[in-house]
Amino acid sequence: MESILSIKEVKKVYKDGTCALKGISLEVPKGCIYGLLGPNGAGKTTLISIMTTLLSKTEGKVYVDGIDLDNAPDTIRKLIGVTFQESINERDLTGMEILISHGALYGMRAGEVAKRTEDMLNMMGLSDVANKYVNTYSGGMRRRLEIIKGMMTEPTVLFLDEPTLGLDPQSRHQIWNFLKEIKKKGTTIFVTSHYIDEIERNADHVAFIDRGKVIEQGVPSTLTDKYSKLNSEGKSTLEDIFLYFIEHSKGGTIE
Amino acid sequence: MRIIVSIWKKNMKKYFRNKMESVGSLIQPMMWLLLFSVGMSSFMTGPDGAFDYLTFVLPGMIGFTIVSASINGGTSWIDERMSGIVKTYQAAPISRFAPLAANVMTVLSKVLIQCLVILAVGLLLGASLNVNLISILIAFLLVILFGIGFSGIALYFASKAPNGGAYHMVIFMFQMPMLFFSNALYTTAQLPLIFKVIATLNPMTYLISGLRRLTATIPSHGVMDLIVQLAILSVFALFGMMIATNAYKGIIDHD
Repeated sequence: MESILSIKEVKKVYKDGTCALKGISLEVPKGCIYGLLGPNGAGKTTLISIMTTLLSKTEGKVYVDGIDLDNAPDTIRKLIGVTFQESINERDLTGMEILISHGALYGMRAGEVAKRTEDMLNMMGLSDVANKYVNTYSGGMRRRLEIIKGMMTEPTVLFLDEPTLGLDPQSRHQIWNFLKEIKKKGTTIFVTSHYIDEIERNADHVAFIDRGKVIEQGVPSTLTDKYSKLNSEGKSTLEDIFLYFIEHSKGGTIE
Repeated sequence: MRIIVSIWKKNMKKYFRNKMESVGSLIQPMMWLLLFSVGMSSFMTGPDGAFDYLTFVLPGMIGFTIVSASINGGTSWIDERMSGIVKTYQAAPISRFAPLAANVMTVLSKVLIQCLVILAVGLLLGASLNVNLISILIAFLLVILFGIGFSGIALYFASKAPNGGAYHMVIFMFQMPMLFFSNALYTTAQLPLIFKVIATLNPMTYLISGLRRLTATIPSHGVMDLIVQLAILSVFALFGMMIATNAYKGIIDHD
């Protein structure tokens, strides 16, 4: 299967000497939902920051749709959408004004933004509040608006860092339905999450990372079959596998 | 330029909608002007009352207002950094310089509104101003150059500081010394030698000398030529933008 995102031996050593990534390699197939799992401090946010051009890498290569990140970061910025962990906090603007000002960064005019986001706002249940100030939004509504911000530029790859963190089940359900819809249109979705059950239900591929190394990757059903013996009933979940890896991982290798 | 204007429009919209900030920013220069002119004029006018201290101190209040507005611009920048808005700019296909330029433009816009308030209140209180179009345009240029320079310093610290508290701790070390180690409240001839040297190194001294020369009917710093003042403030503006841009680029590997 064709890779849209190719990460080759990426290393990141911070200025204080902390080695956050110790040589990560991943191939993300085009048009899939790719889940990146790992405990706190595993290097998920560091990796996503490198891929979205926010952080420099120490070594390795990243290609997005065949384009080398080192040679053409601006071209890559046009191809990607990003939803960060932080929620929108521009309290004196309406949801639509936030979308319009974000669209302007990508050369979109207000009319084009309104047209392009109409369906997205509907799907996310935000149509009625689009012209209200975001300080009247709930946490879930802000996250949904943030995801629309990431998606409204019609990116080739959408990066989401913990998109459902701290949200109620209804908001989480709404967000995953939205992501599955945009996947159908061909967008590749690269997502990190602590909710492993969500990833198991929705992702086509997953990778486990710990202490800056990939310790396992593959299709969720293949992995649960491969590690079925971890569960006494012979039906392992990704969470069982995750916990097994975290307990037995020693710097990226399994004992 | 379109991106800069777009971010500037968003910033100004937020400013006008935030009544506490917009009204406060108009009241503050009026208070300073009243304090330093009406309040202190009895100490400064001399026994015969011949010295027009209000007219003398007016350019100083403009300089101080620019410093305060630039500090507030840095506060907005650190808020945007902490809430993830700067990350959104960094992940977008726009010039690295655009968000900084928009921030400076916002500061200058607010400063111009505040300057109009200061001039209006000054005239109402009886300041004697020698106003003509060319003088106003050159005075405007001096204000812009100083505003760019000090905004650059504020943005430098706002990009480097780990949080708002640290930023304010550092930047406030500049605010009062900029005022007192300059010719804002008194002529530098009255200062002890060491203070005179510091005042000569303070760019605000050149702004105020230029403004006095252009707008006031009373004689000002006789030594400095307007061209020298413009040249020094141009170098200051360039310096400010250089350090701000470098610090902004450094955010990428800040963490």
